[in-house]
Amino acid sequence: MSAGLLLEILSAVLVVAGAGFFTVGTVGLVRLPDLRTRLHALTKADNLGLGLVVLGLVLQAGSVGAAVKLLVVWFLAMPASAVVAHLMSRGGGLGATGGAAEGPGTPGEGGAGGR
Amino acid sequence: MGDDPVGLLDVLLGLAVVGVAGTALTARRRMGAVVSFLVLGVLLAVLWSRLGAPDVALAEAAIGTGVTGALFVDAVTRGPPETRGAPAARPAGPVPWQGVRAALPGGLAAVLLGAGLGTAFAGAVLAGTAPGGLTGQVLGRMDAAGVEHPVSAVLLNFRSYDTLLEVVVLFVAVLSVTATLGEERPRHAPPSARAATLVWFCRVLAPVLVLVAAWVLLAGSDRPGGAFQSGAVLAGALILMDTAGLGPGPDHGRLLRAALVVGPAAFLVVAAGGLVVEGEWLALDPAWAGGVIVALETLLALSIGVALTVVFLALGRGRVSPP
Amino acid sequence: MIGPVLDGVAVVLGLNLLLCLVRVLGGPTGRDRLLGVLLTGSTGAALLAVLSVSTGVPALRDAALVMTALASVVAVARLRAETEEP
Repeated sequence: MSAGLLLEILSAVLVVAGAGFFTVGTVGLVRLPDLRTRLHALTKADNLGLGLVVLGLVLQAGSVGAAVKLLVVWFLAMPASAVVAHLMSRGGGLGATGGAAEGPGTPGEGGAGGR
Repeated sequence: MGDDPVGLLDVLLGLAVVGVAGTALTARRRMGAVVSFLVLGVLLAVLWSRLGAPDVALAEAAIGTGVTGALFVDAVTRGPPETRGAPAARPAGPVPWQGVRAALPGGLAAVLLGAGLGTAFAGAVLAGTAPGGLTGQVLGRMDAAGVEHPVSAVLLNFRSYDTLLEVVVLFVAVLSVTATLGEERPRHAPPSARAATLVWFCRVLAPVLVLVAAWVLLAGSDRPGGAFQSGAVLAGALILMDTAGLGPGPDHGRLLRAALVVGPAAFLVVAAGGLVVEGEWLALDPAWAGGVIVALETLLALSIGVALTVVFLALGRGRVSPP
Repeated sequence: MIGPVLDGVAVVLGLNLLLCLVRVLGGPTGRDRLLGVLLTGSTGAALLAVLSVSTGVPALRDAALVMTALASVVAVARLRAETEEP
């Protein structure tokens, strides 16, 4: 089996696994009952789903620059989704003291609008 | 790329775009409508890539998902509380017909406009059917263009007048927003009242966005990219900086105004220079065209980024709706 | 050989994009809807990355990068607007 074919198979496996995690994440977002549980689903899709897809594509990338750019996409999405998930799970305002949990799944909305 | 047979993904995207546009218009909640609009932006970006237009896909990703998205979400979150439970303006009875009658003129106008534009586009495409069509004509002149990417050549050289007018339109929009809303004191919570994590996140991410903006700008010479996309990403960076408390304050007025003006001013200088040197408004000598275009794009990106940020911040300053 | 696999993955990601709409339209709070759009953005970026490799258009990677970066800006815009008075 040539190295190229092996690489392609590995890529295919990684990309399909990544798509699988994306699906799990999306189904979780839709089916889970509460904001905080949905955040779990979102971060799985962002970290694992995107990561596996990117790793699979990197193997097929064709140039170092292309591979690096794909990795940058992943390395940007991971901390961003982690921080955003942390901030969104806070109940109440986002004051410097940080509102603690206000009860399951009812993050207050500081602004009056935006439901 | 346009030669691929229409695949399953394309059919899915086509139907989805229409469907999501419908939900964006008819969603019950304002935030739902706004977020549908953002989803529509993502779908459109993918659709443009499938249609073989990566420049438009990049622009849609930068402007639609990015700055416009931030503007809408900010406006909706900050706006008045929704008072709809049951829509009070809908009495029972023969009203559905009234609703349709009210919508008819608008619908008719939309259909006519769509038909008119469609005919115009079809005509333009067919008119260029002589060697290679419009694409062929552009590609035939590329050696005089100064950049290697045909889209950038069209935007900044062959049809630069249109781009100049677009930039001026943006400038006028900024003027209108700041004139009506910009005078009130900032209503932003001081950064100390914001979560430390949020402030830290913005401080770390802003330089990354500036780098991405620089890349998109420089890429514009031989691949999709350019001033507008770069300006939109730059606006994102400036919004992040403002969230972290590093944004423009009351003493930065002159700097902001300078940054806003430098792009259109440079464009006008180039245009007038063309008049003086070549006898034609906006003419670019092929020998200089490359350097001039890069410099111009950089200044334009700066102005566009600052303009979009100013609009975002000004809308946060004044009242979006009556108390 | 990997071409059809990438096409299939693209379709799956496209379907995921549409599934996010359920949360966007139905999620009871504004934050739920924002989650929907953030997942749409990540899925869109992945889809653009897959398309960039399967169709060989490098600019789509730039579009994926830009979309990822600016999705964070939208989230920050929402978070900052929530702390301020209307």
